[in-house]
Amino acid sequence: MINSIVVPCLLSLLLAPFVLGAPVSLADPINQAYNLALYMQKNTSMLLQTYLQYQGSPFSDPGFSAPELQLSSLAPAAVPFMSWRGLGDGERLVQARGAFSALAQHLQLVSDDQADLNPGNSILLSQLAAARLRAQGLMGNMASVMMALGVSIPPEVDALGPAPFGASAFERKCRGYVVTREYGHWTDRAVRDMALLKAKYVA
Amino acid sequence: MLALWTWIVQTLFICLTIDSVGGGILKPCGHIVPESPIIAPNTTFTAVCVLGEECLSDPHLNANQIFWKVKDTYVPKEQYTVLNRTAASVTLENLSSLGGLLTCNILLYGQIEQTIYGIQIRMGWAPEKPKNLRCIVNGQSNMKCQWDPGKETHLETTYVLKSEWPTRQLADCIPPPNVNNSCTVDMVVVYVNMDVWVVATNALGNVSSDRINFDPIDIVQLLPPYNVTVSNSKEMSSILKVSWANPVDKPFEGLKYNIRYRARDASNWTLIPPEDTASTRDSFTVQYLKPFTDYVFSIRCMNIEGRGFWSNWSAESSGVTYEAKPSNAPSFWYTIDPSQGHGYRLVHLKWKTLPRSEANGRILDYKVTLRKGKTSHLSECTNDTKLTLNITDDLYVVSLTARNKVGSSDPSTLTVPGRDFKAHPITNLRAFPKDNELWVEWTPPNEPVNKYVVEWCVFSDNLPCTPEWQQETNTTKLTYLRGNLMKSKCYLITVIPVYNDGPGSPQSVKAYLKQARPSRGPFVRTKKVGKNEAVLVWEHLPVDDQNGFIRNYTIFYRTSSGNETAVHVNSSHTEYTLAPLTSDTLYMVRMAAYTDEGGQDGPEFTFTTPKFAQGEIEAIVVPVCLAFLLTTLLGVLLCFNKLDLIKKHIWPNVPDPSKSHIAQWSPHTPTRHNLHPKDQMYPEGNFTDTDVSVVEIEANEKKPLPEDLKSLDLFKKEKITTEGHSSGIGGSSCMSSSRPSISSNDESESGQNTSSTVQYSTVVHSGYRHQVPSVQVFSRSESTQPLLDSEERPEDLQIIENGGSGDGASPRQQYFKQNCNQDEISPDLSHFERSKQVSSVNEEDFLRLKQQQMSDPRSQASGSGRMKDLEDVSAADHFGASTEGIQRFETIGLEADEGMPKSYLPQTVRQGGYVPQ
Repeated sequence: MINSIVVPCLLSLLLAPFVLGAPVSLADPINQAYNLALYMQKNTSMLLQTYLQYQGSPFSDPGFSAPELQLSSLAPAAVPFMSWRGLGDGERLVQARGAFSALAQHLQLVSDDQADLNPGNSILLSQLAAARLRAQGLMGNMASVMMALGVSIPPEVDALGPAPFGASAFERKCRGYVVTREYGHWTDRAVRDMALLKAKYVA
Repeated sequence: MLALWTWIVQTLFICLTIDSVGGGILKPCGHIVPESPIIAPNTTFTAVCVLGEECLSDPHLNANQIFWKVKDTYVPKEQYTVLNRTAASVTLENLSSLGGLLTCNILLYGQIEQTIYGIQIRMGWAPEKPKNLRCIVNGQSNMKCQWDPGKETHLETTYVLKSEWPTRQLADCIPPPNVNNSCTVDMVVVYVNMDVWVVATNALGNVSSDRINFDPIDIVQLLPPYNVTVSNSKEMSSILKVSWANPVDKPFEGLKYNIRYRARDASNWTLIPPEDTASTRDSFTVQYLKPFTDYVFSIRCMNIEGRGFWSNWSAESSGVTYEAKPSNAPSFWYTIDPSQGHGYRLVHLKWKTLPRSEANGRILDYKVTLRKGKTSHLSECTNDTKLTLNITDDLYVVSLTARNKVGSSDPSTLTVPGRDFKAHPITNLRAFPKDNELWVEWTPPNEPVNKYVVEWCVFSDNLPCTPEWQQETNTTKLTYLRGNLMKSKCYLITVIPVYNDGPGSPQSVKAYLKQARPSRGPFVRTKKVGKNEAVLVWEHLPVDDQNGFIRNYTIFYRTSSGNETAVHVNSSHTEYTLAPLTSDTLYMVRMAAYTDEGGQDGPEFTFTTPKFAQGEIEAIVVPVCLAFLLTTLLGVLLCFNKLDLIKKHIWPNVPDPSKSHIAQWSPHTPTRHNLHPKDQMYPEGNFTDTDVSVVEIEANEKKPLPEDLKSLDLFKKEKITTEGHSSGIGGSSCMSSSRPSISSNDESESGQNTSSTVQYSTVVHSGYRHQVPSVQVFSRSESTQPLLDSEERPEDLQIIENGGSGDGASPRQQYFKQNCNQDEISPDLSHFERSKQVSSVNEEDFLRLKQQQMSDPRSQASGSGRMKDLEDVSAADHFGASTEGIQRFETIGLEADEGMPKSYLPQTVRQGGYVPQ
């Protein structure tokens, strides 16, 4: 894990002078990624609210929160600030892109689950679909930034692994809850990632 | 469609196959490659017909016998190629018609056509490259893309809108059925660049449009703001607050706006400066508006960063600004009715309602204040726009204010001067139409003017002038009439300058907004028609018929057969003399009046020129009459001058028997010769013309009895003295032969004219001096004309008159009868009458006659003692004897009967040369 973090960091350090030499081509993807993250951020809370609303009790109960619930297949966004701040631009982007890649896959899973659990619920399904598409879009924007930064883009990995088809409805609802919650968290983090890059590379 | 065609082809094929089977000759065999071709027009197409083994079982059949047909048309053999024993191909070039059935056939036994197989060739175009691809994102994520698909392919063609991110292919957008030029993507992600293109595909190929790359955020068009409301403020009459709700579905928060507004009755929009509305908001206060005015607003919005497109304009919403006090004083004018006597006059004040833009609210009332000198004389409020005051002849100052809910206008002041006030007029007034308005222009007077008043009315003969008016500022020199003016009406426009101390003299001008042709033409007629000219007169058209300024007249005149002649006449004239004209000719004349816009003919008037000019007849007749008169006069004078000559010719001198020498030298000769009393009528040898003269003396029918004769004769003797004048006529009647009148009125006439009327002669003659008398027998009676008085002594002859007097009956006596040559054709009646009369004649009469004849020595034509100059008569007598035998016989007979002389005969002659016995 450490290796995987160190390598991009080094890469980013190595590539920094090169990147600084072409700041103009960097501003647009960063701005675009930032704007998209910002735009996504405005919708994440609504997605979570909508999701919980349709899952029934206890999810739909007011003030429902289960921060302890996690998915092993989905890296949590929460990270100590200094750790996050200490990451290199490339590594931050790699982590974020990887997270959104996993999120997109999980959102597909949640969409399928919800299509099964709440068939015909177009509002939730379209929001889930939009979230997934936006996650993919953000991945693309990040890839553009990474390309601009000269960071190598790691191939997408299958985050879900063997399909957990045998999950119960509750498990699936919990899974969906975690995914939509983490989607919000990662979006928040992405906004900060991009803000950092924007502050750094966009005058 | 395609399925239908396939079905038809298959059905056809099955039918053909069945037909072949039914024929019992050949089982279905063979096929064509390709099975269902689709080809583009003007390309080459090759098909191969392959015979199956079933066909080839017949040793006579091979690929050489294959022939092709397109529909019912044979394909030329040059296009065939025999590939081998079982296969033959055909090459079709430039197939232009769309579709067609191509059949492979074979000829059985050299004459029976057998269809082996058929294919349907379908034709169409490969898709064209879609062009002009453009996309718009509505709201957050809904993106609609459109493109131009190019020309119709006639084939089933699919269009697919493809999109991708740099790292990811996105889902295709497939248009709904029957749509080939647009597609709507449900979900796009803004802030991610994407490529979009269209792929068109059909059986003949596929083609992609150019790619377009964009960030959807840059092509966003939001829905317009909604729930737009407008509210006013009582505090400020010049502002309105516009409120709205922003569209919800948007991928960004920052908006900027365009707000536009207009007055309700205006058409142009005013845009609020965009920089004032370049921030996200939901209301805006618009300033600098007019009071009490209805304004309409609408709004649109877009991304505050300027990315994307403006939304459509929102629905319009309106609001009315609050009232303000009237911004202007009303137009104010007056007229004076001076008819009031005794130092008073009526002033009709009038004013105009303020236009809405100046009233700034609803006018509640008007306040009129009248001042005389420095004291307020009267103050009155009214809702009306006129007020009549009875004022003295002094100078007054009237002021007017209009009031609304908020306040009053400034006063509008007029000075009504005293009587006999005079002030300078404006000059150079003129009016002209321009741009469908009637403009008035003038030169201001030198004195300072407060304002001008322009009055106008329709100038008409039928309607009184009811003026409209308008007020102009003191700087105005040119204005137009603000009223509903009619075309082709004459307007009388008056401009009055208004000074501090009263109005100046009015100046007027006439004008038309738009002239037209006159309604009718002038009625032309003739005032006087001469032989070669005619004076035409007409009257000016009434102003209501003019429809414009009459610029000139044209007179058209023509004869019934000739060409029309036109004469132009100045519009000021009302008379014209047409010349030269032809005399005694019918002329048709009409007249047209012309305005600037054209002319109108009047009715046609017809007149005929006389044959003679006036006075011409007189000029001819008078001289002719004068000449005639003169001639007559001259003739008369000549007659008088040559009277003797005429007398000689017409009235030959009759010798006076009293002066006869015979009477003297032979008074006692008892002559029994028939003396012709008129022998001397022909003294100058003319005697030869008269052949014979026979004198008959007829007795009156009422013959006096012989016993009475003496007494009668005595009586007659006395009468003769008075009748003597007429007795002589017998001698002068040689030209006219009298015949005895037997008319019944003789008695009465003789009764009345016992003394004065003598019927005395019948003259028979045969023309005188070679003249042919129309009537041989003349009756001359009752003449008292004292003709030949000088030559004859009627008394001498009157001796035979006695029988006619006495008892009142006038005896008709034929003194003599001249037998002329024409007596042969004399009617027998006359002879008969004569003979009768003669036979009934009184013997005495004859005796008297004989005495008379004897007494006239020169009339003894038939006597023995005739004179030498009467020999000719005798000759004539003999000459005519054959024809006048009867008369002569009668006469002679009578003479024979009454041959004995009467003792009293000489008594009848008193003045003659006879001496009484």
